[in-house]
Amino acid sequence: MKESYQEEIENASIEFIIIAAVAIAVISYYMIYLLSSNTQVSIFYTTSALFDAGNTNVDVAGFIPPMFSIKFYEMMAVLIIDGISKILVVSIAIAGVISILSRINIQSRINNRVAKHLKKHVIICGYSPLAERICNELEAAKIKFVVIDKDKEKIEMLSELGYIFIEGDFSRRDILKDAAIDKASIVLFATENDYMNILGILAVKSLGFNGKIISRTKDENTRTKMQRAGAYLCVVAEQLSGIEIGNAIIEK
Amino acid sequence: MDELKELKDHVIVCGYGAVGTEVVEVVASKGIKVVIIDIDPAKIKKAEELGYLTIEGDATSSKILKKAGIEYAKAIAIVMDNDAKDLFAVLTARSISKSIFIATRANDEFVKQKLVEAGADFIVMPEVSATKEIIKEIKRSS
Repeated sequence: MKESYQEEIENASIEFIIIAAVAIAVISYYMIYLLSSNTQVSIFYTTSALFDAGNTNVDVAGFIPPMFSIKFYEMMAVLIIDGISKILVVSIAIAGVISILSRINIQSRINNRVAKHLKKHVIICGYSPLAERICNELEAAKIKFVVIDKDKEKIEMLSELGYIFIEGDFSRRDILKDAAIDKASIVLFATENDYMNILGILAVKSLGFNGKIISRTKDENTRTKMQRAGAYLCVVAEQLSGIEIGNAIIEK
Repeated sequence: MDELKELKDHVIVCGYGAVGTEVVEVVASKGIKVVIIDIDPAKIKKAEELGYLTIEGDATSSKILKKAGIEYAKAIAIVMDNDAKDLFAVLTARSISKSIFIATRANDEFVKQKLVEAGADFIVMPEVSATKEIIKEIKRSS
C-alpha cells in the first residue's frame, strides 16, 4: 500500500509540472498583456520567463513606463511575479526530472555498468552479517568485489556504503552475468540459508565458472553436498570456533 | 560416577553441539580427559558411544558443574549455542572457581562484552572465525 502511494506521488509530479507550467504561462501572459496591451510583447516575456530563452534584441522601449509612475510599479510587480514564477517552474521541473531519473533507477543502472567491467573480482552472494565483515576486509585490502542481494533494504544499505551491487536473485544466470561472472576469480555464497547457497553453487557451475566457489554452511552433511555441487571451500563457522577454543585450551 | 570424582586437570565442555564436538575432538586428541555436559539425551548418548564421560543436565546449575569436578578442572568450554545460557553458565563457573580458564562463544559484540564482564577468559565469534578463513583463501587466490 505504501508503495502504491509512493508511485501515485511520482506519477502526479509529472502531471503537476505540466499543469503548473501552463497555469503560470497563462497568468504571466495576461498580466503582461494588461500592462502592454501588446500580444507580441506578452508572448515574448512569457516565453522568456518559462524557458529563459528570450531574444534580448526585441525592441521593448515603447513598453517601459516612466520611472516611479503607477504603471512602473505595476511593471515591477509583474516582473517580480514573473521571476518567482520562473524559479518555481525551474524548481518543479528539476524535481520532476529527479523523480523520473529515480524511477528509472539510474543508480542501479550505473552499478550494473560498473560491475560488468570488473575483472578478477569477488562476487558475494547475499549480504549477511558474515558478508558485511568480508566486505569490510576486502575494502581494506583493496580487493574488488560486487554484492548481489534481492532485499531492497540491503540494497539501500549497500548503496549508502558505496559498494558495487546488483539487485536480484543470485541463483539467476542473468544476474550472475550482470556481475561479470565470466571474469570473476571467486564467488562467495554468504547467506544463512544452505539451500539457497547450494542453488547458487549449481547456477554458477552451470555457467561454466572456472574460478573458486566458497560457501558458508551450517553442518558437515551440507558441506559434503556443496562440495559435490562444485564448491572449492565450505566454511562451517561453528566448527572453526570449536577448533579455536580447543587450541586455546590446549595452550593453557 | 567414580571416574568423575577422580578427575583432575580435565576439561569440561558444556554443550555438545556444532562447536562443542570440535572442542572435544581437539582436546581429546591431545590425551586430555574431557567431561561433556548436555541437556539433550540424544547428544549424551552420542558422546557416550564415542567413549567420553558425560553428565546429562543443565550446565547453568552449580550442582551439575560441581558434579563435573569444576573445582579441579583446568578449563571449561561453555558453548551451548544460546547467548543467555552461556552467560549464565560463565557467571556460575566463575563464582565456583576463580582460577579456571573459561572459553566460550558469542554471536555479537554486545554479548562478547557481557561475557568478558562475567569472567570469560577467551571468547570466539563464529562469524569472525569464518571471515578470517574466507579472507585467507581470497587473499591466497589473489
